[in-house]
Amino acid sequence: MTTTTTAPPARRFRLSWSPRGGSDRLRADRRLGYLLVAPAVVSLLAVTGYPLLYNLWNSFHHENLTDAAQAHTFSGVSNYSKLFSSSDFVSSLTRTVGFMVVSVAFETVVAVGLALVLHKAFKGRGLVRAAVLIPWAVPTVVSALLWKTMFDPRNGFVDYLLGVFHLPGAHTTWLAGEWTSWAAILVADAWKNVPFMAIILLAGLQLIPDDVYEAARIDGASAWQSFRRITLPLLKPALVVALVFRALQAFLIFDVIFIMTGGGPGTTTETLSYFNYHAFLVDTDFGFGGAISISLVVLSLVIAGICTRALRPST
Amino acid sequence: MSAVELDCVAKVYPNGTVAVSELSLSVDDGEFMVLVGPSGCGKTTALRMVAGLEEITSGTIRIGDRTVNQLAPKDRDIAMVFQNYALYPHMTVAANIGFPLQLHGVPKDEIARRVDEAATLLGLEQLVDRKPGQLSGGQRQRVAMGRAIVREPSLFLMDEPLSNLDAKLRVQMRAEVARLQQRVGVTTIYVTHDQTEAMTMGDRVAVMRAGLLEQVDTPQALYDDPDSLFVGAFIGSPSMNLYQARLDISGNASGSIELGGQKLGLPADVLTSRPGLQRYKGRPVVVGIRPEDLSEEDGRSESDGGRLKADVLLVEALGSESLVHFDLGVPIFEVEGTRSAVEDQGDVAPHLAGIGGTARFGPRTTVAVGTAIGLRVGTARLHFFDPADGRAIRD
Amino acid sequence: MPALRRRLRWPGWGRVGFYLAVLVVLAVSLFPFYWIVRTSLETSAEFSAGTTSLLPAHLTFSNYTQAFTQADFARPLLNSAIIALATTAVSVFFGSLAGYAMARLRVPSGPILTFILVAGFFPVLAMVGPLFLLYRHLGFLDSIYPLIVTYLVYTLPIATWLLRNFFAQIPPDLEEAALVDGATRLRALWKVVVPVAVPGVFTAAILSFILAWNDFAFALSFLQTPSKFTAPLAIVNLGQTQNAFQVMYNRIDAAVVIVTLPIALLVLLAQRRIVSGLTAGALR
Repeated sequence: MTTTTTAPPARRFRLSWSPRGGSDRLRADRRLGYLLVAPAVVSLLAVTGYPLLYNLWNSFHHENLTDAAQAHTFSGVSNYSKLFSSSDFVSSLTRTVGFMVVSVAFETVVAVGLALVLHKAFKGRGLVRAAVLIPWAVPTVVSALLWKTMFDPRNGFVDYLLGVFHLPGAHTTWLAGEWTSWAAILVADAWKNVPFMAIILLAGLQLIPDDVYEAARIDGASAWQSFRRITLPLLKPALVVALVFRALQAFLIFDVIFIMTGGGPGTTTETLSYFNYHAFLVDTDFGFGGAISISLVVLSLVIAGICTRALRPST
Repeated sequence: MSAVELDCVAKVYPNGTVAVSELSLSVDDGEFMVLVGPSGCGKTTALRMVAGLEEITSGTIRIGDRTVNQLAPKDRDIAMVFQNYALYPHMTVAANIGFPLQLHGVPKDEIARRVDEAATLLGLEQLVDRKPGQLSGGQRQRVAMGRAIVREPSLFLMDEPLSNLDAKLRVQMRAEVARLQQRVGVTTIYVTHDQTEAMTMGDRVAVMRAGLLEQVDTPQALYDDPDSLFVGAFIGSPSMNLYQARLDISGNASGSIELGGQKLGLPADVLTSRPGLQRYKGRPVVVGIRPEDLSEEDGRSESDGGRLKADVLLVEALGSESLVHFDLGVPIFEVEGTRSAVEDQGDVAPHLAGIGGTARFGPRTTVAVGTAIGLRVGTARLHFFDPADGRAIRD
Repeated sequence: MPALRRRLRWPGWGRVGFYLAVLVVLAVSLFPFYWIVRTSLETSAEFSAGTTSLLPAHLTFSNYTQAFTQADFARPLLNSAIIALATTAVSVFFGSLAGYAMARLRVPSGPILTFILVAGFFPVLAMVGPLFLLYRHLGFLDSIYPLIVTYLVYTLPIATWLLRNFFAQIPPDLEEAALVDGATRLRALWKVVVPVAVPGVFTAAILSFILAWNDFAFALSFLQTPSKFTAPLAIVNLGQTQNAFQVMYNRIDAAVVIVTLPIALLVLLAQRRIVSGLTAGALR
């Protein structure tokens, strides 16, 4: 501490300055910072980083609990070759991507409309917002069972409605057919997730200043034109965020499938997450499941990458 | 209570910006030291280094007999009043004032007693149960003061504590803070950009510019005898009239300066008391004239001093005096960094700053706008500066 | 309120069209809840006969009493409450520490924050296998406590992100005042920063609670004994243990209503906070 006073002023100036700030107290601050970040980082590493590495290891080994003889032995890429040649994997991947594209497209359109409604100032808007948020906040188990009730062939509201208006399709066992099952899943998923998207888009709408609309009106823009030419482009950042969130969630869909159809009828509604669950906890094949998990992680990254890249504002 | 010593203290930010360079300053025990300067001059950074809120890049800071460079703020035995008061919004007035004591493990009943004392001293007795959000600006300021004095620290640091108050309250609190400091007698470093505040409050004033210390002295000495153009221009309101002029010294002791087309005679004693002027013979200098050293020529005494002719641009009657803005036909000499500070204080009508000059006349003056008048110059109190380096020309 | 004066362009259907849209929004959001309440108030005989009207024939609460007596639904509710509250507490605590460090202390917050947020998108079903093996090895299977740590993957990213943003908004003066007044960094955090950031802490807590309360996949994978089940798992189990011939939704829906109630109440009370939390979490 006192040595600095004896050095010639001009040199001291350079010697003691380092771009990262080297004094004891700065270092103490940084050390405290790492200490404070540690619990969060370590616990998240434990539940994500550890499974990732463990999956990677498992995917190159025989790890089937029903096959103790071969346990932990190296299996090369056999789990992966089995996976990529498995028609179940290919078809569940196709289904999952198909569901993701359809549901996200559908939900985005509905969510934009809902956000526009929620954005307008009216009496009781707070209550309406709360009402819209409840479907988002309830457990997926609730939304899935709720829509299972709604689609029940004898006691569901859908059945009741079709009966009252003498429409065809009354007493349909929705969850017995492939496409009717997907329709029910889509409705249940959208009902829970549209509010989330709408809230994000609402925040985006609130960032658009009113005077832009006023200027457009003076310039003679119609309501549709001002929506198309002003609202949508300015909403893009919020749309990107909402889309990335939703696309990943839809890609990883599991709860709704498990509860509403159990992957059925047959395996026609099995998604990748369901496939992975099945490998882990029904077949107890952690090597094969690990390979699925690794592809799930990689595909999630790819989707997030595509979404953010495709929607990046063109410069 | 202790003295404070800054020895060659510098602050360089990682991006290379030099906020303070080689600042050496000693504050005596119990002294009220004001750091003043235009915004960005490094005064706040200097204060924050003393507080320990900012790392010191080089140099040493001592409080009392301890070098505090590596001490955390809490171990420096200081109290600080912030520009925005930084009152804890979730605590009552009493809890705010008592917080430092609580942190230092003072027993509860003693905290209560000392908070009470401080509140009484500051006239806050009625407000102790309120939250900061329910207080007026002046009351918040007092609470911030209370939180500082209750600790009985060895050093007070104040960072523009009055700048968020309205003009009237600021004048009142100025006196109050100064009185409080005298009463508790704690060494104080006070930062402000307002030269009036600096002049009225400080035992001594340190003027800073662009990270450098310009001059430290008592307010009167700074005013009467500025070391540099910057200090001359910055201190005083209305500010010093500065003009570039040419100095002529005739063979014998007396001389004159040429100001625009006019000649201002300099008696011999002006030159003998400033021997340095001899070196500027026949060269340009900057001459500074305080507004009160310009008086109305009444036509009677013609013997002493010089006289200048000027056109009256504006007369501001302030009641106790009149400020006469005039045009000498010479542009005023611009000193970098001072003009904005002067305009901030609202002392000069902005459209007049830059063209003319200001004189302080008696309240009953009859000069009229648009007329030409004679100005008598108190030549004995003229200031001379080197136009190149801005240093005062004295010895 | 300036918001009421604001005139936003609504595609020209006028007032009536707008309120019609609001009505549709309300109906779609809330009517399904009415339908499960209605179903849950039917006797099994009525349910088996099929639905012929919008209103139930008569109201019976037997499904609710049965949920608690026969199905012992109180136990899973308690389990869920314990896990969700504990997860919330841990998330807010860890999130405050990490959020403060990234807002104020000189840690390189970029990479750390990116990691924390990316972790929030980690495929849940990809975690299930390895964690199953780990918990089996440690004897943690069929216990509710490991779920507390596991659920952090849902809650900690958003809690940390929210709290970091709230802390960054607090004027640094306040903390500096506390430091000068004699506080250490940690004391300044607990005594000054966190109390001032209470709205943010609240928001983080509410969102954490909702996210933890809603899990199904982890509970399904790790719990085996009905007395250890969380509420969502118990409800699903209720359906699967029934006679497979016809699922008695009147019974199940009583449980569904019970699980929904606390969440609905929370949303009604804290709508503003949830909206601000979700949007602050997404757009910044």
